[in-house]
Amino acid sequence: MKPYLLEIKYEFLSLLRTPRFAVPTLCLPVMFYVLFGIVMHRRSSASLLLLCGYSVSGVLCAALWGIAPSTASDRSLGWLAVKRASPMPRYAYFAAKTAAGAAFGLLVHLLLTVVAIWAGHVHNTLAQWLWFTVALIAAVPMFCAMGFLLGCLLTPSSAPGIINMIALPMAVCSGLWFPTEMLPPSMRMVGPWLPPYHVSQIGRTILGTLETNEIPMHAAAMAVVTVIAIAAAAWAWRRDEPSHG
Amino acid sequence: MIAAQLEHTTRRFGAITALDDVSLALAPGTLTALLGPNGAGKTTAVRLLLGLARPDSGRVTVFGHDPQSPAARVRCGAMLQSGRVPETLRVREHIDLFSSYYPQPMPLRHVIEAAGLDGLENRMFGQLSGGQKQRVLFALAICGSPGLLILDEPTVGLDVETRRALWRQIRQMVSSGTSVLLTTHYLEEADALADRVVVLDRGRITADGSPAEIKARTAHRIIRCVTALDATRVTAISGVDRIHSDGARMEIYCANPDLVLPQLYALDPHLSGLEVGAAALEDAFLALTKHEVIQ
Repeated sequence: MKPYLLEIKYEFLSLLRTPRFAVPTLCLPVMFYVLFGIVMHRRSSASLLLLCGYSVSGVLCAALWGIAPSTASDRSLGWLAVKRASPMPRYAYFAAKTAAGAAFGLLVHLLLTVVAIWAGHVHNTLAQWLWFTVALIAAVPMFCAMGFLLGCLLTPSSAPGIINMIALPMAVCSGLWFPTEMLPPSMRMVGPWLPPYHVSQIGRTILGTLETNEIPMHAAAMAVVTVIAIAAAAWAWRRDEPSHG
Repeated sequence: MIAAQLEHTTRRFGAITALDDVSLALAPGTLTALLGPNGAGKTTAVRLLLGLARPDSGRVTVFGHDPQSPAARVRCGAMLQSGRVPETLRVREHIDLFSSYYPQPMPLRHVIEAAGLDGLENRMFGQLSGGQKQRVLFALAICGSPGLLILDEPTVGLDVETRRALWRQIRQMVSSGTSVLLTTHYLEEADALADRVVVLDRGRITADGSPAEIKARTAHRIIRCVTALDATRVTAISGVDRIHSDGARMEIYCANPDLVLPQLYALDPHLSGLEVGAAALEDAFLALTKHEVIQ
């Protein structure tokens, strides 16, 4: 167990000490939330809706930015070979990146929740906050698998550009940064085909900003995407591993 | 007990045969240097021994186990050329993490001393100089007290002093019973460290012996002199294998200088600066991988 715990600890520390990751990941969602969710909207319903979206996008971005670029450079520039040649436990690498990425995502969620309760005047029960956190945790495997998939397919130089090209439209069309109701109809149609949309819909239902309850349908969609993303990441990862068994 | 073994191992990459029916056994407490020009198959051999690649045919074992098995890996340490090491971890943290992979790691203090990293424990990897970074990679390779240590060009890009310090540390590992496999471009390094030199050329072993044996095998002597003769006339002298000329200064490789020298004087009575010496390992190496010289 010790190598797993150390691997997670050092992966987290390494990300925390990388300002170009830690600063935007932790600060941007909070800054935008304060601006768009609190200063510009005085109603608590809007504040709550954006809190949900920013929390989902915090978990999504922490997973993609925390995993994909470092995996791409570990693979291409030899560090992964050093790790693979060592007796590092087989799954420690994934466990560490997943746990560290998830920790940053949940930290964003925690910061946003504190700000929302303190300044956004939202009033939810502890049970609602906890269930919302559970929904975000349930999304971690899906988002982290997407991070590994990109890390295995991209080069270190192409990773940042491609991650932006995927994460930004996905966040917008899923209604994470403003409600889908404000989007043009064509963009609104894309939402249900995107993974974060379903997490956000579950979150909104839990926090009480959606009237309908379609949690089972959204949870099923998340489960399907999670299976596909893990299978694709495993396939991409194996392309690199020694073959000719 | 043999530390590691390649038995009739072949590995192809598309149309290229990187290793062609190579057999090699590494004994404990010895340092084997793997020499060869670029593309000779050195890195492929290293990757097979570390389980980073599989042979197309033949067998690779490390302490009797499959190189990919945990039983083999916990007895192996490797220093590979890595372009990206997480820069935001401290030296001590890197060693702490790698030590946790092994059942009986060396105490941190010993690793720091053995790798010459005293005073640098709390530095971030990204703040280190090139030589210091190499020493950290060496520390990661030795922290598990490995029985087999594989060093892929460990001293490339290091200054002379750092290189010699690393040589001392490598010698210590060998004297404590570790089997070391070293690939290098520096022939001086193989000459200084190796008990055994294996020359690989286009995927095959072309020579295998102690550095002295390898040098003796080509039986080369070098005549160095300053002469007005042109290269073609000197090459035509019977007994001359090849020459290397640098302006008026010429190096003449031959098996028997007694035979060549009188002819040389007969052609150029004004020849000066004459020296006759034994070939260095480098000359033997060039002779053993001659096609590289022609290129």
